[in-house]
Amino acid sequence: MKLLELEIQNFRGIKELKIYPQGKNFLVWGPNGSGKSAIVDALDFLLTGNISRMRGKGTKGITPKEHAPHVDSTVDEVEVKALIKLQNLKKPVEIKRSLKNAAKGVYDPSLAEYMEPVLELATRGQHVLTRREILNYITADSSTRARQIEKLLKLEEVENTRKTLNKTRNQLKNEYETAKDNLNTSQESVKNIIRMDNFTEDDILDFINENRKLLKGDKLEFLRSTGIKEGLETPGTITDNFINFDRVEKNILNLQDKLSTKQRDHFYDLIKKLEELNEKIASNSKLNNTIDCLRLTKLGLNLLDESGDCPLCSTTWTRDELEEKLNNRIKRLHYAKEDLEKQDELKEEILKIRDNILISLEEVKSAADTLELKNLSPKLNSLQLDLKRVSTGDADFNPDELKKIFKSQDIFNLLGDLLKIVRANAPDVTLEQLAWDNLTRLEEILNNYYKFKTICDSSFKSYNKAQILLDTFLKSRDSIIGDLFSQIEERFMELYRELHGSDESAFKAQLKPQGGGVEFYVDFHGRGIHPPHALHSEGHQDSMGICLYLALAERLTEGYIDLIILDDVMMSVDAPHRREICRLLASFFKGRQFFITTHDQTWARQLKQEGVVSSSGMMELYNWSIENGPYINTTQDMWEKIEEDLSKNDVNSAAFKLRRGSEEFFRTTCNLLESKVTFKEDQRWGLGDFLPATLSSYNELLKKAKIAADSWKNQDELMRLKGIEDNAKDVFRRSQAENWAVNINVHYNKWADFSVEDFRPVVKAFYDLFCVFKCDNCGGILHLSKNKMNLEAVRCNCGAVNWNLVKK
Amino acid sequence: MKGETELPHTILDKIIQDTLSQLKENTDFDSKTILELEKSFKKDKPTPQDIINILKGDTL
Repeated sequence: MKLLELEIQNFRGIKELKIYPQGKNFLVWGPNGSGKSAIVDALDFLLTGNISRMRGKGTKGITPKEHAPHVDSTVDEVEVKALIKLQNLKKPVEIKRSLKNAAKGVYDPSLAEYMEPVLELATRGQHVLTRREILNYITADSSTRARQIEKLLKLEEVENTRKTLNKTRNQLKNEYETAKDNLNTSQESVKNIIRMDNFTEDDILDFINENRKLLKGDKLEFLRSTGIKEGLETPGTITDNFINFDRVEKNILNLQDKLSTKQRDHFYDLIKKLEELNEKIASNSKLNNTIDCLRLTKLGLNLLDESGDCPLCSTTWTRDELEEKLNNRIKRLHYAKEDLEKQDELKEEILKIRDNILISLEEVKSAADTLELKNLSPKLNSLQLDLKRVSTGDADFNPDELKKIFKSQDIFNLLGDLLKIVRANAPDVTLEQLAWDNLTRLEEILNNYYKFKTICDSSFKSYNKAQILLDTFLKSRDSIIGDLFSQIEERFMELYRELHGSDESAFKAQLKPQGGGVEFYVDFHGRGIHPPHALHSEGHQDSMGICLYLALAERLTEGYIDLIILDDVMMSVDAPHRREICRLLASFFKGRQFFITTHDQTWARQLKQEGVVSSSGMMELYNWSIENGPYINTTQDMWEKIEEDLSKNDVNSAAFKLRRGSEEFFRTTCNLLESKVTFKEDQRWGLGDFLPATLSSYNELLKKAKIAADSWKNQDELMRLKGIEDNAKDVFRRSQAENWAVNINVHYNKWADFSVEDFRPVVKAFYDLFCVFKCDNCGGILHLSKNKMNLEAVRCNCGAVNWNLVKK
Repeated sequence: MKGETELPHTILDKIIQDTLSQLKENTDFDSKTILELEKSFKKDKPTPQDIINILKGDTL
């Protein structure tokens, strides 16, 4: 997309303004407060419906609806309109946007397929660079730079997707962990039935076959969840309220063992130790805080994922950096480590005993329920619930509560009573009936076991897929962003070397994604790699910012938006390097349209001299007022101004302009062709100093070019150069013949005494003289190109002029 | 202009495209799951629950 015309009405400081860039580079220059940025804002608004300057940090209370209209206008009166050219459409497209309906850009709906990608890309803001952003590219810390580059590359949505995939993985991991716990519990239940310490299929199968043998059944060859009673006959009447006295007794005995005086004392001892430790920690606020801090730091270390983001506050770190920081913190808190570990050990042991009790209690409770022991069942239920309430979670764990439960319930006596009741009420059962019940209960638990195993397997598969998805995403992310950064790094180095090749020809840079940040290091004159703002001057940093932005923007907008807006980006770059930037824009970005704003007249002049903008592509803003907005001066061309003076018979003004313009022009040619101007201590050089020097350089360089062409036996080039020489000689002769320019005694102040007819030939001679030093194609002034100290060529920025100076 | 009829690819589009293409080579993923993931990423920003449903096969 290129900008052909832009019309602004009642927007910010502008009442009404129309400009005609015609798809070419365009320069708006003028002092601060003259309305330059309002034009950039209007363009931003037209393409995105927003004004980026009014969003983000420091813009609280500023809204486009309230502050975008000209101060004397209403929202209804604000409109920005443009004529743009899309690459594959011959006909220009008109687009307009009003503040009243800011969300909708209005254009021919049949062109939506062409317009939507352009407007979508514009919302990413990749085509605008401001001074403020340059600082974020260079002097910022790695995470701020990362955010700036992320914003430009739209990497935040990559990060959001990573977070989504990470959450997916974590959620499925939790589901898998829960399924695994259930599976473990069912395994414990199986072990409780078969009275074995290990869970092996052989042991279970042996148990099944022992019971089947009692029931005169065949041996099963392999373990299965159903049909373990297959082929067996029911041993007598097995009622619904059948109780496996043997198993219940074993579990009661197990509970009694666990809660025997010795074991209970051990249990109480553990609780006491934990209480004492908790008291010790609670009474020492420093230790208490340290333990909390240590626990949190350890948790943070465990939760640290690939992004490196802090799991607590989401601050962006590089992963290695945060990991190192957390480990160092844990080392510093070592004096609390022993207490923390002891606290965890005690809690773990207490909970292990509790869980063992719970499994046996489940079996015992089941018997009590079957016997409908109305006095006991509620107590066992209550005990079970109380035990379960002693959660494994640190926050809920309360040793006092657990101790209270054991003391108050008098569990040991309760179990003794239950044992008596069970024995008294249990019907006489045969061994066969017990075997049948064992198999029935085992089948039930095995069913649960296999159900949980299926859930566990399936949840593991889902978790595994989520892990693979996340890993693959991260691998692709690192590869694609790594490649992209590598390409941008290459282009950045190329552009920067072009600007600073004279003093940093071997310049190198490293731009690498690093966790949640972007690492950026640059070489300093071969003396090592450092952050860009460590050793380089502010001017060099500005150059880096521009080069980095151009390298990024070029890649991101390619094929959609050819317009690149540089909003007052030159601050600290010195004049020679600004000229290099002009050359960079003119020669490295030929297909692009630059829309440049600046308050700096020197930079504006250089942009014209180097052919980046033509006279018609410049607009000066001045004398801004609330009522009228800026005054506009678009007739920048000196020759048009001189002609205007002559048509008014004002030779004096025309002569003044020619004198000033010629001095400025030939001062520049001397600089670009490296002409030798006689040194003056008072530094008051004039046209009489610049013109002879630049003519001499021109002739000398043309002569060298002819010698070089001859050495290469390039007759065509030789003839072409001779043609250039003949034309130059003619122009120089005419200048000499008029005897104005080179004769210092007939100084140009005398021109003021001339009539219009006398002065016109002078103007014509000087116009032709200027043309000798300019490219017919781009209008840029010719410059000498060198390779280190060796003369290489005389060129213009578009490449149409290229006199080789290197001999065979 | 590249791809006149579709929106320009973001870095995320490229990463998703590459991720899915790599998953096609992974035996843990069948073509239906990959298709569902592709549809989900194309349609809108999927939530963790959307992806969980796809990975569990609940949407297939």
